Amino acid sequence: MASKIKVDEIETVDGSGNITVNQPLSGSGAGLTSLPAGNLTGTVALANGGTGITAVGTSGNILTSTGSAWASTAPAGGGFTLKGSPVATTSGSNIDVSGFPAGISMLVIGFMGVGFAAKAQLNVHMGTASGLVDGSGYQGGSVQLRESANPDAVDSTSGFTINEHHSSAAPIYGQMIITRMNTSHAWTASYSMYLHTYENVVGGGYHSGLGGEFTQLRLRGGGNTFNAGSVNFAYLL
Amino acid sequence: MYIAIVEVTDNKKLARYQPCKTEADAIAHSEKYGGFVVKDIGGNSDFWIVDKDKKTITQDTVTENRANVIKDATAEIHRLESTVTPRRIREMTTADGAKWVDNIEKLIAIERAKL
Repeated sequence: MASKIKVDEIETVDGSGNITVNQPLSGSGAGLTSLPAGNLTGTVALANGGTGITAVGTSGNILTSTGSAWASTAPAGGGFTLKGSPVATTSGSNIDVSGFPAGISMLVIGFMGVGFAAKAQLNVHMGTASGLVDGSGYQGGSVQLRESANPDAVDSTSGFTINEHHSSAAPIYGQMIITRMNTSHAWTASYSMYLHTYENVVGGGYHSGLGGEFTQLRLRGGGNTFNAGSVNFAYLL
Repeated sequence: MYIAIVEVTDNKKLARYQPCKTEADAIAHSEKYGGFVVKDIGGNSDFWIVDKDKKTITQDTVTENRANVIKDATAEIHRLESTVTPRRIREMTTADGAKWVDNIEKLIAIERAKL
């Protein structure tokens, strides 16, 4: 038999304001005039119309249906993603860039006037979470073409190489495109660069397998100091 | 800067490495992925000798200097060769033209001697 209690105010004995309810409360909610969002906590489950996820995931991710749940995932098939702002190449003998998301299938490195204090041979080293990969597995080379001069060629097993054999440092403009070939993380590279002035470098190469997901790289000046320009990165997942 | 050297090739070259700003970071990386930690000695790492038994890296300056000499001499030979154009060859019919090419040949010989 239902009973009814009508009161103006309920207080706890200790005045803490917390009332423990041991049984379910029910009601239409029609009389609820305010429920501040800040007072809500927890995750709304999928069954209750929520996403069921507790974290937004990596910057740039989107909400994706897996068929049975929602997940924060990197956008697929959406074209290239620009990785932040250009990275200055104005000091140091190495430029380290990390934070690439796992799953990249193509990377484009843009060179905007990358220069050295003296003539240098620039190498690009790819890397995984366990470290940058140096002199094992690379096969690459480039040819420098100059006005009224014989071409210079160089081979390298220690990275994707842009040679610079002329007598003075020249800013490098162009792009290097690196593409993942298979699930063993073999990669190929091709590049065409303009070296100011009257010089061009073309080259290519491959690495037989990085041993894991590509996540970082190093531009290495071979002991020479970077002193101009910047690089930027666009990738395709 | 410190380096966690994860893998070394059979000929004592870097195979896999992680540059770190602090020694603590390098040690943490090494504990996770193996290898050992050294202080970055700078220079061209193509000419480092990495001794995983002694856990050291040293600069092979003899090999590096030799490589630089060969690289510079080769570049200079290419430059000199490219100056002997078809017009210069035609001018070898004159005494001055022949002398000019002879002088270039002497300069090339000097560079070749460095190889």
